[in-house]
Amino acid sequence: MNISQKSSGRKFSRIRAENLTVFFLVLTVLLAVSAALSLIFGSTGADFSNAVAQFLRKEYSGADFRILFYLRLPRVIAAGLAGSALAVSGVIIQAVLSNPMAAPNVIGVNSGAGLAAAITIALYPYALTLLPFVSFAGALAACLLIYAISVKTNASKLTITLVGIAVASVLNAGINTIKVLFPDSVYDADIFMIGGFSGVTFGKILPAGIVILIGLTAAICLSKDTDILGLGESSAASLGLNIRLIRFILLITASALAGAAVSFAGLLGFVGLLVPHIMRKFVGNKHILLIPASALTGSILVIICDLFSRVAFAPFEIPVGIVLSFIGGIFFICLVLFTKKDGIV
Amino acid sequence: MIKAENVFFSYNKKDVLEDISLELTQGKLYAVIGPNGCGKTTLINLLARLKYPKKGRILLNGTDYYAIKRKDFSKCVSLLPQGRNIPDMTVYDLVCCGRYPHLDITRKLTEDDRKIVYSALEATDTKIFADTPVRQLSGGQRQKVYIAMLLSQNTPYVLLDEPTTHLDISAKFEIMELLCRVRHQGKCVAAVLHDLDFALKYADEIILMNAGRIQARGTPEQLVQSGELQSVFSVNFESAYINGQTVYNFSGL
Repeated sequence: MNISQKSSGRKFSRIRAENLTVFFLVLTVLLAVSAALSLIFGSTGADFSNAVAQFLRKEYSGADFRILFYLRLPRVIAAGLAGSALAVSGVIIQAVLSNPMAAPNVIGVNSGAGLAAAITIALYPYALTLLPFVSFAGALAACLLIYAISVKTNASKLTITLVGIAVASVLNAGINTIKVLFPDSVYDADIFMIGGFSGVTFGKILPAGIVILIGLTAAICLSKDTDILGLGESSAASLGLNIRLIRFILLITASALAGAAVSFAGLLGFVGLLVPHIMRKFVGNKHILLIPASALTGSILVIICDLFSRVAFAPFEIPVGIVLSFIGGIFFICLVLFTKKDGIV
Repeated sequence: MIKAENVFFSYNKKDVLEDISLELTQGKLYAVIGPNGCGKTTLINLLARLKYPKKGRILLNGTDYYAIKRKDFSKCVSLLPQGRNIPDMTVYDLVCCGRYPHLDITRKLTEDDRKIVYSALEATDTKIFADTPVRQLSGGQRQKVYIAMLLSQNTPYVLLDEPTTHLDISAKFEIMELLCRVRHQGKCVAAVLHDLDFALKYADEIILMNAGRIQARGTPEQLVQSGELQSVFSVNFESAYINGQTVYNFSGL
C-alpha cells in the first residue's frame, strides 16, 4: 500500500513542516509591505518622504505629516486589527460549532455587536470608549444564543447555520430600525452596515485594540485545546478535555474579537469565513499554525482592500466592505475552482 | 480493576441498562456483544465516564468513578468512540493528541511524550503514514491510527466501540491482532464487536448483552456450550477442533 505516494499528487499546496518558517516569514513581509504601501498611497497626494522629513524636523503641524500620522496610520492599524480579529474569530467559531459554514458575519455575531453598537451610538453618542465592550456584549449574546440552540436541539450543522442566518437577519433588521429611528445619530449608518474605516482615530481603536490583542493571545494559548475539541465530543471528553468550559471560553474569545472589530470597523463581512478556509488549505487544521496564519492573512487582506478602497476611485472612497466582498468573493470562487478535487472544506 | 455494581441507566425515562454488574481486569481482552439496540454502546460510554449511571456505581481500583479528577481519569481509561470526526490533521499530530491528558499547562510535548507517540506509531504499523493527512487514509488505516492515539494515551484500560465495523475482512483481522498485542502488554481491552466470529476467535471473555441486561459472561467455549449465544442471536453453530484451535461454524437460523 503506497498511500503516501498516491495521495501526494492530489494534495493542494499544503505547506510542509520544514517550510513553515518560510511561509510565516513571507506572510510577515507581506503584512509589512501592504502596511507600507497603505501609508504611502492614499486619495490625496500627500508625499511620504515629505512627511518623514517633516517628522524628522519635528514639524508636527505639516500637512503631509498630519495626513500620514492622523489619517493613514490609524487606518492601517485599524484595518490590520479588524482583519486579524475577524479571521481568528471565524477560526474559533468554526471549531466550536464544528461547522465550516459558520463565521462571525454568517451566524449573526457581527450583527449582534452591530446592534449593540448602533443602540449605544444612538442613545449615548459620545460613549466611544464604551463601544468595544458594548459590542462585545452584543456579539457574546448572539454567540451564546446560537450555541444554546445548537446544544438544546442537537440540530444538524445545516440547521444551525440556517438558525444563525435567521438570527443575523433579525439583528440586521434591528440595526436598520435604529438607523430609521435615529437618522441624525453621529455615525454613518450606511458605512457601518457595509464596514469601513473612514474616520477612525487612535482614540477609537485603542480600547478595541487592547481587547483584540488579549483575544488573539487567548486564542493562541487555547489552540491545543481547540484541536482536541475538533476530534469530536466523545474523543475530547475521554482525553480529559473540559468540553463545556473550553467551549465557553472560546466563544467568549470569539465574541470579544468580533465585537471589538465591529466597534470601529462596522459589519465587515467575508473575512471571518474566507480567511480560515484559505489558511486551512495551506497549514491544515492545527490551530497553533492556523490561528497565527489566519491573523496575518486577515490583516493583509483588509489592509490591501482598504488601500484599494481609498485609491481606486479617488477622490471618492468606496467602503472597504464592498471591496472585500468583490475581491474576497472572486478569490474564493477561484480557490474552489482550482482545488476542486479536495474541495474547500 | 474496573468494577460496575448494579448499574442502571435510562434515556428519557426509557430504561437502557438494567442492573449491570461486571469486572474488567488488566491483561484480558473482553468482547461486548449482543443484538442491535441492546445497550452495548451505552455500557461502553458509561465505562468511559461519558455518562452518569442513574443508579449503582462504577469503581476504578476501588475509587468511585466520579470522584476521580478529569485528567487523572483520562490517564487510566481511554475510549475509541463510534462516531468520530475525521480531523484535518496529519497522522502524527492526531497520535500526539493522545498525550493531551499527560501535558502540563503549557501543552508542550516533552521528549518522553514523543517517544511514546513513536512507539504507538510503531506498534500499530502506522509510522509510514506519520506525515499523511488522516483524511487520505482508508478506513482500516484510520482505525489503526486512532488506536495508535489510544496507545499514546497510554492507559491501562482501553475501551473501543465497534473498532471493526465497516472494515473489510483483512483490516478486521489486522485490528483484532493489534488488540491482542495490546492485551499482551498487560492492558485491559474491552471492545464492542458486531462480528460474532471475531469475538469467539479472539476474546478471553465475552460479555453477552440482551435487552439492556448482561445475559451471560464467560469464555467463548462456556457461552457456546451453555447455548446462550445461540438463543440470543437465534443462530445455530457448531464448534470443531482443528489443529488445536476451536473453530466455529455457523449453520443458519
